[in-house]
Amino acid sequence: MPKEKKIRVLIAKVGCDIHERGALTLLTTFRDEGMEAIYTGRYQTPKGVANAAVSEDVDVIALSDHTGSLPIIAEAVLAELKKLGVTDMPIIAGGLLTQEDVKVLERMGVTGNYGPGTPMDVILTHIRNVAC
Amino acid sequence: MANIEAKVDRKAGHMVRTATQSGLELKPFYNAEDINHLSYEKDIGDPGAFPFTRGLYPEMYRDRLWLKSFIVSYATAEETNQAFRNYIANGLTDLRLLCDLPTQAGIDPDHPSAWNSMMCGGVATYAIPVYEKMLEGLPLGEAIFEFAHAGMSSFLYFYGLLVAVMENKGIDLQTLRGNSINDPIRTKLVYGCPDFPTKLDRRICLDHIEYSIRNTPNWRPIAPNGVDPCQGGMDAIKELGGCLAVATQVMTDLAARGIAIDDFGAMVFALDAESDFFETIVKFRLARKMWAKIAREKFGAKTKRAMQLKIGIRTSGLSLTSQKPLNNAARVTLQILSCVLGGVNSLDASSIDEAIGLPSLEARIFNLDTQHIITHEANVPLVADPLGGSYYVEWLTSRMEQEVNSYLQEIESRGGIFACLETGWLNEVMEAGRLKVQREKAENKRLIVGVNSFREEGEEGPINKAIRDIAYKSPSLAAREAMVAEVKAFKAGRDKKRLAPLMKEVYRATKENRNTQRPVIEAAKAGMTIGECVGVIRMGAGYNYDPLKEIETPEFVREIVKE
Amino acid sequence: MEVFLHNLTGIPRVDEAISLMKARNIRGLTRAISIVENYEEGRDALLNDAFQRASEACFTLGFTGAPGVGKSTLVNAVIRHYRRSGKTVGVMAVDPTSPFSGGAVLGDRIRMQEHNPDNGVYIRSLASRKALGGLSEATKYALYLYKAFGFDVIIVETLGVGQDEIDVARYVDVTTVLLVPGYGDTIQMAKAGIMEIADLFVINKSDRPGADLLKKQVQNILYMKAEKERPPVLNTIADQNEGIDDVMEAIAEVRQRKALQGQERHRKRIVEEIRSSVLTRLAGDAEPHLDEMAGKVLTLSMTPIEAAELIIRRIQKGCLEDDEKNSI
Repeated sequence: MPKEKKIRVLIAKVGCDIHERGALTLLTTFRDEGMEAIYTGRYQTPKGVANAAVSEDVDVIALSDHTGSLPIIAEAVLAELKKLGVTDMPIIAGGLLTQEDVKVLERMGVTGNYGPGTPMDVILTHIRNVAC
Repeated sequence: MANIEAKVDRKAGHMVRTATQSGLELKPFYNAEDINHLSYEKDIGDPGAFPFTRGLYPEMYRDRLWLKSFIVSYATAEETNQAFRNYIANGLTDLRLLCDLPTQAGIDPDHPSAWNSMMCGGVATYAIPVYEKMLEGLPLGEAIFEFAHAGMSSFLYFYGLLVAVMENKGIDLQTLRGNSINDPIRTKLVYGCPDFPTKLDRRICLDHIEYSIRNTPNWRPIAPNGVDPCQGGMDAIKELGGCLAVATQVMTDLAARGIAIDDFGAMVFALDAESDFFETIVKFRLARKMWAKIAREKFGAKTKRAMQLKIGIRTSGLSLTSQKPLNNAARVTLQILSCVLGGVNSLDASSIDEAIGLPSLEARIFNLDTQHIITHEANVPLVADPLGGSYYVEWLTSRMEQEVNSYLQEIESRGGIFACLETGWLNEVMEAGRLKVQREKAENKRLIVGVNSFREEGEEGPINKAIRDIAYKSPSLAAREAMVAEVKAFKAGRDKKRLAPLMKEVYRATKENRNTQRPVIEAAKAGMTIGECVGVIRMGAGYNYDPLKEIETPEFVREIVKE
Repeated sequence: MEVFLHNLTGIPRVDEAISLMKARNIRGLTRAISIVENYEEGRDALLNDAFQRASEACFTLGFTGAPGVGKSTLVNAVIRHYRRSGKTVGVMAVDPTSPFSGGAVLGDRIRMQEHNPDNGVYIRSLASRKALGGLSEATKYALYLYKAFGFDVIIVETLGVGQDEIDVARYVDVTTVLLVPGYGDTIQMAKAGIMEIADLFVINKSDRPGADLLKKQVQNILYMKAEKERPPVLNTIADQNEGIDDVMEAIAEVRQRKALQGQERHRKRIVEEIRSSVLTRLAGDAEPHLDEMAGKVLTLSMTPIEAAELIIRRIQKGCLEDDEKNSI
């Protein structure tokens, strides 16, 4: 990794989930850990997230959702990324997740699926691992 | 960031902080000297007497206990209706009507952005038939309804639907009881709701209030909300200050529409019951006191009712943890107790499984039983404001008043609450508060049991495990597809000849600066959907149709707004 | 075309970026910017290639103003305007890097999200990283990458704090400074430099009280300038698309007026670019000596001025040695 390399993370929210606190906490934590965190804001489309991830040349996409629909969101974002010719962008997910959701997500290749209360250092270590 | 365990001795132990959750520094004890500056008549007063610090009524809970309310909100109208029936059968008539997240954002289920959050958090109540189904067979004139939606369009539209359903059934509107949050600051500050821009939010808020005051006098059309800003990072001082600033601004705006505070009647605040026990109690006492003073001194209220502030509670969801979820029972119990000691009017307490998923029925019954135990076994509500006169509580009430007052002055000096929102200042304040809490937790200056302290290694026990096993399932693909098909069929099957002029009237009323509430009720009766209501009002105010700028204006609407 | 994030093909990243850029594949540009930002291997080759192909036909616009004045919202409306006439738009949104951690929160995309699905618009958020008083190196060079990619219009949005608001003007054709009523703008304006760099003032959120007063205040200050150079002061309500047409018209006029001094301006800009590259290079060369010199100053064996002198001599000596080697 070049010496000036900074990990760039896109924090993305798709659809109408209004809960933002988790995303904001990640944003500031990533900044304080020396990363560049880009936030899409709420009410995004899967296509918009895929385009933003490619435009920003991020190392990781972090999907945040509290409506219980992370598998649906991840599937749609992966499909949009594929349309752009990107098949190896690491995606991690966090928010409201069931054990079943985690299994589905892992099958899609989405790793680090974090429920509420996950210690921040676990998330950070995982991002550093997948980002390089 | 290392998660260092707090070094607190489990056997003897000591406090790790000397300040309240909001950062008010405390002495080890208080005595008569600390409250020398207070006058019983002016600052405290008997329950039922100005400034209502000790409560709104002399008999308080002996006469009438607080209302116990729950958000009852399932994915389908049928399930939600059944749940309402069950609750009513158990004597709970305080019904919180919510809807799913896309609807709260002001879009219909057939909007592309509705797909993944459709039927999440409630029913997709896109139009009147869904509402009729959801309310089927319920005693509308006897229930109390609460609207706690996120978007400002929700209050206008769903109040409109409720009135429409009642009128269609021939029920007297005088019997419509309940309240709308209808807080134009919270909608943007916390939720960033896309339905309307702030300028339009502010006007729609007033349209709803004005119509309601004149036509449904038992409906409280605004309840400034401190709960959600508080969950977003505001401390108790700024939570209360924010509510007072919103209420003050709205009363000022209403005066310009010819509505005086005595016409308006009692104010309602939706406040948060946080973990800091005494600070929370003090916040409720102070809220009543400060509003009473503002109502009388600033707005010249003459009637007792107009000086009274009713407090509706939502206990802190954020204080609940997914680690050792059984501990949430202790947290919620203390929060409920602080509400009872603080003399609140209605209480929606969180369930112990809320940090993990949507609350289960069992957890709710437990929650309800906790309130019964506090009432009937512990006898807590027998006497009004049992902490009144406590050196500490009275001192803290007065101390917090100073802080809230200086926060209000700061808002004023920055051009008022709307200017504070639009310059981003309020967001900065909330963000700073959120970061402060985050830092305190990381540095172990704020201990959360089972999270940053008092953690046990190894397997969790059977009770915690059982709580964790309750999982929430999001709606299936088939259910979503069926919903989209249902909406499309509904839209296609409407009597467009009847609907078009009524929707045009919504557009015109917006454009000509007339009150939009009645036109919305009429158009809703004819089948105008939430998405169309938002779109047409946006267009009337000079914006584009779709708040998310993803879809084109429907052909049907384009015809309607043609001049 | 499938482009892997991780280099699996064995082709050096830079070569891949250059060929993708030539093929007008957006991933070539996104990667090229990362290479420049991260000082990756082959950075100079990439930039030299971009300099050669950069088109001066691109129209470059700068927007600057304090946080909360609605820059992104105005830029959003400006993008919409150019897209209507089919022009491609490249946007660079610069946000500050935290001096404590070196990280950053980049949030400007939020207000421009309606263009996310549009292939004719490219938006990239850049952190200022360690800019030496002004626009970050990466931002300046990214401008060349954008030009080499060949957008019709390039927009640089910078936070109006510190040096970068003044710096941006040196690199773009037209600079717009945004103000809002009731936000202590007159104090902001009095700051040296702002009046000199603005080609255009926009008073956004003009539906707020105090908009007229602010306009008058700005105009009063501008009376010091010769009439034909006096920047227009316009009112907008960007989130309602109000006043945007006037802004676009004024931008076009300023562009025409400044085109007359085109050659001279272009030369000035190149001078600035060389100066900035030299300074960055020198600062980089000085870096390894700083700690040692600080030690000497602390033990009072040297003054800071003498320390600087010594560093410069060391750097010069290093260069001489290189020259000597080359000449042999």
